[in-house]
Amino acid sequence: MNFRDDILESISLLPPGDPERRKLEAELPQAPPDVRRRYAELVAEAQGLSDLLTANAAAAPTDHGEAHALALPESLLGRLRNIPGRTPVRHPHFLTPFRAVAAAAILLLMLAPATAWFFTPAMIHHRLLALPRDVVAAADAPPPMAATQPAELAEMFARSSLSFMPEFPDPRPGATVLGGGITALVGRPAAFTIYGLKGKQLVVFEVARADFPLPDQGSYPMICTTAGDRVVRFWSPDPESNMLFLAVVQCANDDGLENFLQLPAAATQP
Amino acid sequence: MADSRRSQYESWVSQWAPTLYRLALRLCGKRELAEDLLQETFVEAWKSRDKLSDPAKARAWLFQILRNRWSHYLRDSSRRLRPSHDQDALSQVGSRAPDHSALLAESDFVQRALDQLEDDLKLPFLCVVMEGYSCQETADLLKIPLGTVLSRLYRARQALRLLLTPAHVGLAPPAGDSRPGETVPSAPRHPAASGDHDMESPAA
Repeated sequence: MNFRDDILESISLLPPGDPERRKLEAELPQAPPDVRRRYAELVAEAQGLSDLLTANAAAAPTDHGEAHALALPESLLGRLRNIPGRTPVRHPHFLTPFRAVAAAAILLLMLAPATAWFFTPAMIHHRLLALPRDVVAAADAPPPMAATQPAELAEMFARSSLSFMPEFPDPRPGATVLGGGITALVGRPAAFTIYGLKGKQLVVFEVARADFPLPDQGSYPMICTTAGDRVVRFWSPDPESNMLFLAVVQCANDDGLENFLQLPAAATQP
Repeated sequence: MADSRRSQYESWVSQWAPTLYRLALRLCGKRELAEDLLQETFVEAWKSRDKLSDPAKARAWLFQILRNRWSHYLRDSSRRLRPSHDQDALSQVGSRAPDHSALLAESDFVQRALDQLEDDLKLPFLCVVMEGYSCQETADLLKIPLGTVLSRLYRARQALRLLLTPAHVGLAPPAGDSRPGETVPSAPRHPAASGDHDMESPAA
């Protein structure tokens, strides 16, 4: 058995049940006393390292007074649980985007000789120009309805199929929302991040009092996250439909939770 | 069928997400990035769940996905989960907001030390010392020989010994090896474990 120091150092890091460690420890009684003593020291040190990795971060305070826990944040857990049903399943034999494009190109090449006689150059020209115009027209379409006034919002809430994204930078209609969480911005009383399947949006807004009743019938709490004295809740009229997420920012005070702002946070398509 | 898949996914989340999050956090040292990595990991896992032939190997499979996501992140300068902040909000995040990752690094001396380790050393070290993987499991996960795992463990330990004070780990390091607080650009080399040379198994 080789009791070189580098071997002792690496083996002593292994978990107690590890076969490599068991092998070494089985031979250790035959080692010189100084090796046995050194190995015991290294095992103690390894345990200290392990404790540091798992415990130290939880104990170190931040300037927010929060613990740097290594525990999974609740908001992230909510997002992870929302993934099924909102993520397309990749069938093992499904065409990848590249293969789909390649297949379409091959098909086009095969059909081109047969259809070339049908289209006049003028028609082709028209088609080529029309396509970009359609795209531009779609891009120039009025943005999703925005609502900032309480009365306007209330009217919208009364309807069941809301689909708008007010107050959002770079709204991305059709994005699949997995959840959201408080984002700490100094000097901003309310800011949170909406996490989508392929991206995320930081939403910053000034807190404005809006005296709405909380969603009741037909509304289900989807995600609730807290940060200090703030609570953000996300509701959806139909949790399975992805139609609407409603963010409610509440501020705790002596009388309980007070609604500070309530607005539709994101609208997504099923 | 769909329900069973969903319940299987739920079990992955409840069983392995906390461990993977901790690993991701220690790997990257940034809370927000760790969350993104984990979300991407589970999105990928859900999409390609049919590829997991043996449910008993879910942990290793999820670990591989996380590792791939981390590798992609390191390789690409642009992040896959790129936040689409407007410029005002972005500037506030940069100038006024408390950066959780920076706080984590500053308040956690272990993280600061880990951040200075090369990834090749950090991964096996975290797998073994933090997550309790066996040497063979780590070798399989990282697709490296068992001797290389041992060698990297040794080098990681040597590097951390320079970065952590003796009081942190509860033991005075060997003479001549300890200079607490010294910056280590890369792991120190030892004649017996220099480079990626395999270290023989103790049984050898």
